[in-house]
Amino acid sequence: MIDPSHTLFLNVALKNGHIMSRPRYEPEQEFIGNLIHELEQKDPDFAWIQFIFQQVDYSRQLMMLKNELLSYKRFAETPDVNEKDEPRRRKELDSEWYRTVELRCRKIDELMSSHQVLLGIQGMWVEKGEEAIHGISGPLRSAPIELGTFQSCRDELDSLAVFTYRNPRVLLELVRRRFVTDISWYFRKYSVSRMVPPSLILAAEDLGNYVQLPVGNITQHLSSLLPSEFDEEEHNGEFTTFGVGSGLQYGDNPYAIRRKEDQSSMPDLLSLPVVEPLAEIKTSKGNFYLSRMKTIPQIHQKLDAEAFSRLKHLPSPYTRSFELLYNKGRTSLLIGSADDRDLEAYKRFLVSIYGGFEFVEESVIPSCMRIVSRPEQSS
Amino acid sequence: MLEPILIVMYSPILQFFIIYLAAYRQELSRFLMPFHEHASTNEWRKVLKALGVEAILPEKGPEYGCNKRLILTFGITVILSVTIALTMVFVLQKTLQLPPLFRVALSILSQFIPATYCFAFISRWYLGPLPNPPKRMFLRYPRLGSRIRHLMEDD
Repeated sequence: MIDPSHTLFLNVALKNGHIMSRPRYEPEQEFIGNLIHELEQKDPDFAWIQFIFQQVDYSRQLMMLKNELLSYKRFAETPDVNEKDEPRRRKELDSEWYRTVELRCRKIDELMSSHQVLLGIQGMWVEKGEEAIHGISGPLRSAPIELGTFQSCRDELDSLAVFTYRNPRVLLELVRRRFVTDISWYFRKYSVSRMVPPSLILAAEDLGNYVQLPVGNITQHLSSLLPSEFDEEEHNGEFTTFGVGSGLQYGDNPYAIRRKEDQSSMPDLLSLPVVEPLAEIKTSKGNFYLSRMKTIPQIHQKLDAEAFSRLKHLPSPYTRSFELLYNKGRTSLLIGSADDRDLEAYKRFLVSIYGGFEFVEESVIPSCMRIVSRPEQSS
Repeated sequence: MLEPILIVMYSPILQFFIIYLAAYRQELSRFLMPFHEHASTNEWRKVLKALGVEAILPEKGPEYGCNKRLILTFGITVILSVTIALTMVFVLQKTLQLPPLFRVALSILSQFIPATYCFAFISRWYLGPLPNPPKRMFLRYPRLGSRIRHLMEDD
């Protein structure tokens, strides 16, 4: 049974809509690790966060916006003339809008001088049943989801913010991996009545701040990344090698031992009914191809600067996705592309950076979506 | 037959449009492209059908449908408008010494009260939040995000 009153959809966008802003998370390379850690702490019934990106070229719109800002600056600096023909200082010179023109123009220059990528961050959040009963009054909850990891992504101009929705049509967008690719309208509205574009324009080298595997010390605290019940079943009970690069085997890992201890309290995911789509889902350009990381490497050391900088090659002309699924205390990472050959290239690229790990095919509606469409057995 | 001036004096229609033009002047098309959420159980049913997912939905979900509220608001607006109009007729009959232009203006202005009430409802439940003022560095938060402007209607 789907309970819409426990389900929220989200989109992460610029809080103040400064389109040229390039928010980033500090410390470097810890974004995904901290996001997973935050999910574990909040422990929703189900969370699905998509990072969808594509190479774009918004240079023309950026140039027009820069010209508009410079015109405003010139206007503000041109003295006004009063009734007695005496020059008078314009009040615009005291505005924050004027004071930040140069900073914004510099940001635009930085964007124009590099390859641009459009990044859409969107997702779904299902509250735990009991929280919804005790913590939320009534079926409509207007409070936004607090995800501090996103809100910590900032630069001198703007920061990220989570916008929440109740509209179930967002679910269609999530399943079809659609994100807003045409944000020209938001450029036109920038100085008139600013609206926040649902996608971010970033320089290609910024993408690695968001699309990355969990690395560093934080990985030692991420219990939701342990090998899943699926992996064990698929290997007929044999030791599942994971943590490629760490040299650890299943039996050696302290988290595996802890998981064994907690096994009795964990839900048996395989016993839940799987809801598969009746018809093949098409994206606007055709199929969307997805793979789930069967094992997530535990990399305790951050990538060196050279390897990290190679993440700027992540975007491609095809829409690609990097998805994080949190379902009953377990996190899975999915990658996808609108083209099957591009997906293979995407996989090879990630493996070349993070080391060897395996992928398995995943349905466009991830198998753990069963959580939101469970039958009415609980009632 | 009703004179146009009487409609303006004793109904809040023109006043409603004046308030709309003033409030949404930066985005006049908002009336045609309202910015609000649809999250009824019926909407969920359509989405699940499009996805080919079979699931049971609760009979009563979060309802954003505002039919009952709309009828109630419309009723209150009419009552307010008629009450104010009758009060104005009564008051103006007693004060015949007032100049005619002033009497007309007073009647027109008084109809802004029901118009404002009706507009507040329409704005909240249909049109969506007011556009942001130009050249502001910081925008109000939390607020409704722009993502729902781009939800596909092709399913």
